[in-house]
Amino acid sequence: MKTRTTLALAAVLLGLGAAGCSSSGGTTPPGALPRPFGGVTHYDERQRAALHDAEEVLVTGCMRERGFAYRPQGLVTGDHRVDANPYGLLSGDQAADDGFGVISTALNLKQAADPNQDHDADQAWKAALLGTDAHQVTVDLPDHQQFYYNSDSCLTQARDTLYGPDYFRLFNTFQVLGNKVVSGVQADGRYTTAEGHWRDCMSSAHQSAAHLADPVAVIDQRVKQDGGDPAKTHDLIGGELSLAKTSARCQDQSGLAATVEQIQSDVEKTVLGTDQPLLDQLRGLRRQALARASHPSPTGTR
Amino acid sequence: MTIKSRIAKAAAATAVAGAALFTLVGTAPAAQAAPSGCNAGGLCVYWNANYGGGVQTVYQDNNDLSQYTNFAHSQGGSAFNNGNSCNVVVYADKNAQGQGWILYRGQGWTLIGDNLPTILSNRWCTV
Repeated sequence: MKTRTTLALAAVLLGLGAAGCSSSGGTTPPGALPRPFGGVTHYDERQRAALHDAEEVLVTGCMRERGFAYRPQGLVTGDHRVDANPYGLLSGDQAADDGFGVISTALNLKQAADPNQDHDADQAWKAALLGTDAHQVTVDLPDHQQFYYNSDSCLTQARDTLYGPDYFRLFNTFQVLGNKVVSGVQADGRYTTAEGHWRDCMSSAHQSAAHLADPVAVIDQRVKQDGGDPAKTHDLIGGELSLAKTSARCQDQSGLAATVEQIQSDVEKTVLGTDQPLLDQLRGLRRQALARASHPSPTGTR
Repeated sequence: MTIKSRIAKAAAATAVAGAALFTLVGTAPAAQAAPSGCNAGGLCVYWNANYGGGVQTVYQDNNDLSQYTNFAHSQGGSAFNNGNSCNVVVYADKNAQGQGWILYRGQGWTLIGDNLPTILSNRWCTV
């Protein structure tokens, strides 16, 4: 189904281009739209690729030192939803260029086959890559959550080199805290009032939607239903662009982004409490990792 | 956990318990890279914390995991990324909407809390 959908949609690729989607559409940074803690757990496309490639070089080197072959894998390309705002906020420019990024993703997504799949049953290979339970390290996170990793793995060795040993404790901590911020903002009365104004605006434009996520779900459903029918693809693309522009206009009219930013600032203070030093530390490690990724070690090993 | 999800978990636990027992028998290597029952290349979600109870695994991107009990009621369970080459991002909502949670390859959440009560969609290899 996915292949048929992609083929049918690809047939009208020029139509989408005429509607304003650039060949690299969807990679436009979300600009000033708010993210928890200034987006400390979010990396843009270029940063993601640099970090991933640097980590794969380090993993490959470690595996080689342990006597195993490892084939680096690139990230998937063409997923225009990766940078979607966690609150569902959408700028007018994004909407006009790429809609919600749903159909352009269907057009452009390129999945790569797992190059290491033939090692699935190789316990020694897996142990070198993932480590072993005798070296399991469990880390406590806020709200009674925990994560674990194996300290003897090539992945851990590579990540310690690239990010620093404390990065993942901090990253996971701020995944939890960032999620609390998003939930806190969306539960705030000021947000529900602004979203109500957006809903009224959408209704005036003859679009029924209770929450910001609903229009995206509508397009997803339409693609799932009609994406394989070439006769309907032109209407699908036009429908996404139109609905996205309406949603973005209504968000703008209701002042949603500014409201979210204001509430987010309040909620962050509560959620962060006395943990500002941890946030500063994570920001520092993030900067260092990006610098290392842009200037990788020639050998790729420690 | 809400009463509703508790009831749902209790009902579904019966359905997956047999699978868990079956999985545990005969797979006990001395030094495991991944939790027991978690197949290579997959994102495994367990019914209980600390990789106990039944396990359900996905290997590809999914927009709607609501039909998979462990994913639809992830709170109180656990998860492990046993991918060979990729990190995975999971979302509490369908269609990869909302705040994504990155579960790095070779890492696991030993206890999933109330801020990820459901895992309804996932994306591989995007981060």
